Amino acid sequence: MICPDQLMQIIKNTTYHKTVFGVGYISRLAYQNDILPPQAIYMTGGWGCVSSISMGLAIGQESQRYLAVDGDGSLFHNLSFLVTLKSLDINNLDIIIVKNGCYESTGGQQIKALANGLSIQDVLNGLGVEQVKEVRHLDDLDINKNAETTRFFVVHSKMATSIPPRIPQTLIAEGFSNENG
Amino acid sequence: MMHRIPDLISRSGVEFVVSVPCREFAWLLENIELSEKLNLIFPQREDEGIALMLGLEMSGRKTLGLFQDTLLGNSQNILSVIATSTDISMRFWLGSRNGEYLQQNLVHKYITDRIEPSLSDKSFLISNFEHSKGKEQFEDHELEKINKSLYPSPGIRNFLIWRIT
Repeated sequence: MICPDQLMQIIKNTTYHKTVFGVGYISRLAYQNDILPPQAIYMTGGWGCVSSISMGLAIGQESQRYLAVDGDGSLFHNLSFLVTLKSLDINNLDIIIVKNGCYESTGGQQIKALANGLSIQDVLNGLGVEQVKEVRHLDDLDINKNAETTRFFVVHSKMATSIPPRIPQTLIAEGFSNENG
Repeated sequence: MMHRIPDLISRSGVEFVVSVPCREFAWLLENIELSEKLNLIFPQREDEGIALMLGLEMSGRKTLGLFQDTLLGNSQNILSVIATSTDISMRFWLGSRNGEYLQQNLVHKYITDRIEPSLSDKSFLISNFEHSKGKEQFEDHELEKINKSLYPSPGIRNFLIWRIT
């Protein structure tokens, strides 16, 4: 099981053009670990829309590589984006699914389907995703800029050890500016 | 013959049309697909489509969202992100079927009466366009109104509501 702060430190040192972080603790953990705009785009609403925004970014700037970081609960909230992904030709996007088996930001309610044995990898494969890697140790998280396809990493994560800080609205807005400022 | 509206769309700088199809726009989608200058993307859900448009706009590519007004019912979350967190200009055309069946299409009437007012944000500019069902050819003054919606002011999201009768 991976500590979420350690995961954020790995992400901080990547060279993706932009990284979009999911609603709740995922964005707040990124902020806590000094992953800031313009590298970071924080979501504070639009649960489940992280991957869709990232897909738009990736289509818009094919010469750049993007990263999305979202939770397992958020993934299930908007599985339909995988069908859209399958309909498009996107090769410059990596997506990390932080799997902690619960809705952590709302109090840690268990995702019962996962507890009952549902496999995120099977769900992703079933919806047409070919590149899925289960990550139980940080050494296995080989994210980098040079891949030539869209890849998913299912990162088995611990819960946060404390409630991460809220993000100032100015930083949220800074993340959502466009490439031309 | 090339339809004029896809030409208006591409001349405005829009490169991507994102649509959860509305039957009333079928004629337009068909013509957009024929356009070599426009890329048409069909997301599975409206909120997903708006998020995709936002990502494209953030990367500097202009988009047009083509949806039914039912979008307003399940996209409030992502619209709230747009209203509060970014000043990126955007363009939406929404088909409204409220006018069908002598105003007796009750589901669509509910959307117009109860949900459409949720667009009351200073950055959302709502315009109406009366549109006869199935009509594909337009007078110059109609094209002018359609065209105007493709040029939102900085920080403004233009919503042109095609009121189908």
